[in-house]
Amino acid sequence: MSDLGVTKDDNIEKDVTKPSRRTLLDFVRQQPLGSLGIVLIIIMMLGAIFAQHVAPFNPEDVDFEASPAFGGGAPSLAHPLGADAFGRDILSRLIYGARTALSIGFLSAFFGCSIGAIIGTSSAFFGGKVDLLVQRFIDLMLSFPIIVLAIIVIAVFPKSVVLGVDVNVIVAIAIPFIPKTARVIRSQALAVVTLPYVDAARTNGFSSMRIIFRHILPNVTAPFLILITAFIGQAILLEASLSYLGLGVVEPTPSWGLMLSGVNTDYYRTAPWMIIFPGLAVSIAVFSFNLFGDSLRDWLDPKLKL
Amino acid sequence: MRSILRSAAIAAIACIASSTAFAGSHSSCPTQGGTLKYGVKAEPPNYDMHGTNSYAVMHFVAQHYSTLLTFDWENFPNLEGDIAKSWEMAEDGLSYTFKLHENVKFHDGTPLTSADVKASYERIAFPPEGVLSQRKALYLSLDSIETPDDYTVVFKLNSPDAFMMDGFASPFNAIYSAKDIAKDPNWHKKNVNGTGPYKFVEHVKGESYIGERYDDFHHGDNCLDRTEGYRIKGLVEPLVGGQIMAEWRATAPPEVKTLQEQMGDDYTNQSKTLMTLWVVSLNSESEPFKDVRVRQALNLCIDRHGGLPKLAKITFTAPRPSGYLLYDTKYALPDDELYQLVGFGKDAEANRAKAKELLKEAGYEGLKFTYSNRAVAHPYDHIAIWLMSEWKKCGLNPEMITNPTSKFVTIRKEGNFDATIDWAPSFLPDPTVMHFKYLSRDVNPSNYSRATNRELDALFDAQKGEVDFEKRKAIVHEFEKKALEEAYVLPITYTDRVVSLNKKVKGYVIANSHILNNTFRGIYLED
Repeated sequence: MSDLGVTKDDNIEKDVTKPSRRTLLDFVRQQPLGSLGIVLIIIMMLGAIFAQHVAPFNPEDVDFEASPAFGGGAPSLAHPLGADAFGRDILSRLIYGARTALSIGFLSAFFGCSIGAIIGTSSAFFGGKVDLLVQRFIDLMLSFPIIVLAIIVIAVFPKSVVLGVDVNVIVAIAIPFIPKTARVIRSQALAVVTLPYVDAARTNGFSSMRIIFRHILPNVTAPFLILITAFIGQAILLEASLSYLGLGVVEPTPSWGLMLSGVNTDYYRTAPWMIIFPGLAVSIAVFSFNLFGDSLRDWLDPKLKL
Repeated sequence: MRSILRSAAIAAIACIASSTAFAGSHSSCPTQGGTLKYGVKAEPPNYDMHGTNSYAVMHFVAQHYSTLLTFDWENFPNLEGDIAKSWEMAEDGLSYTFKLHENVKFHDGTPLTSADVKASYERIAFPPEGVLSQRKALYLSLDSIETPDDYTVVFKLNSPDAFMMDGFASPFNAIYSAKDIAKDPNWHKKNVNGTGPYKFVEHVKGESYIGERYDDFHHGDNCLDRTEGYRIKGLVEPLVGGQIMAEWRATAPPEVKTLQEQMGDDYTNQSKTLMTLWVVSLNSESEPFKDVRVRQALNLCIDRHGGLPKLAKITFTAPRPSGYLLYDTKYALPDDELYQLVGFGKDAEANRAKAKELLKEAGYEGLKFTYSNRAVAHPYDHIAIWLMSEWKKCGLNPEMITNPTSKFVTIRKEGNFDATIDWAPSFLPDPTVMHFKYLSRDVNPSNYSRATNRELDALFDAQKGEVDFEKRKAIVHEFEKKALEEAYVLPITYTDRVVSLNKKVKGYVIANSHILNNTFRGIYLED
């Protein structure tokens, strides 16, 4: 029996084609736009991490003499991207601003998607009235425009800064991502909960928590990762919008959104570089994450595997 | 006494001038008619002039009311009568008698009498429970008000008060109808009925505020048919686009430049130093700021002489340092004395070295503290960014927290800050008005430094009751030096006010305060 069994198992192993292990090079070859996106993201990350070594000036140093009010400020050798209303170097503020944008982008997308994924998976797993109630609540949250929801959160929660990061802004941006993620992840999890191994886990008496975290969540990782990359771009845009509205990051902290508003608004006509470069930075960041997110989705989609 | 005699002389001259100005309807209107469209960046919380500090109330509502006296705008701060025809002060300075014009009517048609003046000033000085009177404390010396006949009012004081005469010209002291006050002491919060040049028509909150000419206005210099106020966010676009013809608060230098470029010959402006002092209040209940050395260090770090002239190029702040009193006014400290005080010296490097030394002594090197800022660009952000940069040069670590007005006001009121931007608006260069801000917290709740200093309180009371100019000036200087050395409140600078106008707007005279001269009297439109 054992010989027969071994032979049978070996035959099965030989018949099954091993899934091809795809490399980073495959991603670059198959997703050139996504590769461009990740390269731009890496450049921004490096700039943010090593800002104090890369930036030519301290971003908060006021130098009135270099400002447009004193006839300066235009892009020059000293200030390649120009200087703002206070004579602060725009390139340096953009580089330091990447810290704000990326930290808020990553943290809010990560927390928003993680909480959303847990809610979505739990909703699918428990089903019934729990699912009904959770989904109606999600419907309610989705009915608010994302920026309105963020403004409400900022108005409700007291401001608190931890390690230089405004937790309030992160929460404000993360909360609108929760219902969106929960809805998408639930749809994937609904298929997973019907699989036999989930029934087997239930039969073995595993706790709901263990089944959700160890057996269902790992199987919805692909849409989770795609959502995170997509939401990082949205979070950067949202942070810029909130800062533009005076609700996000505040002066003198460098922030791309803030650079488009506040003290620089008086110079839109006379010193356009003050808004062109921060605007470009926001656009490139969002574009990069969107390119990467789309490519990741295509790459992880089994139907499109080559 | 010399001061009293001088006031009496001014009063007599003003009295004659006032009678002349009252002579005839339309007498000072080169043209009659048209609609004045103006912009205001804030919303009035209500219409009660006695209970407000808001410039929005003054810019929208002041056109409906008269005051007992007003100022001669061409010769500020000389006084002239508004509803008062003549006035005199008793030799002992303990009573003021006003004779009123006899043909003044409220917009509802009822005649104005001395009873209305009495009811209005009692509401200001002795407000009934539930009525907010912002400047009640300025009238503590007022004992009683008598009305011997319908057109005579006598104010009795319990002690001479150097401020009182000018106080009768306060733009906030609108004369309300006694019958309206009797109806409901808070009637004026939601309703308007005055004797001013323009009648209230309509207010659409957040959008517009409409007034129309009051034909029976007693001075007759209401030259417009209609006034239309609009809530605006920025002033450049609506002025360039012609939606408004004026904005009365202030225009920043870059905005002036843009308006000049965009509007060309259609643009004009008037400028004057505004009696609003920008200050930083340090919370003396916050542990580090209980120590005078730390407060002085923060003051020393600010390079006023180097920074203010440059700051003035990008926002509407004045380009020179100032104590609490407006520089170059009769009670202000002379520059050479001011610059001897801690934080006002010209040598920035020496000041910073001294600041670091004080911080080290106090054990607060590299101090971290919060700076509460108001989410309004001009001049709040500009002052804040500059101050942050200055304090960092001393190794301090300020963290700016910016909030919208309502939240900012709550934080300031509740003392949930280490340092906060603050302002001291005045309508007179008088020490009683300008030093009131810095009295102990229990005397004046709007001293947001929350400091208590009885020595300063005593000096304030002493100057208020001193009618001899030189003696009063000496006490005022002592107060100024003591308060500046204590550094509970750091004066930054005054405001350079530029009012932007379409050239069609004529007859406007800018005042030293954006809460003054907002009745639109004498303004006319030229085609």
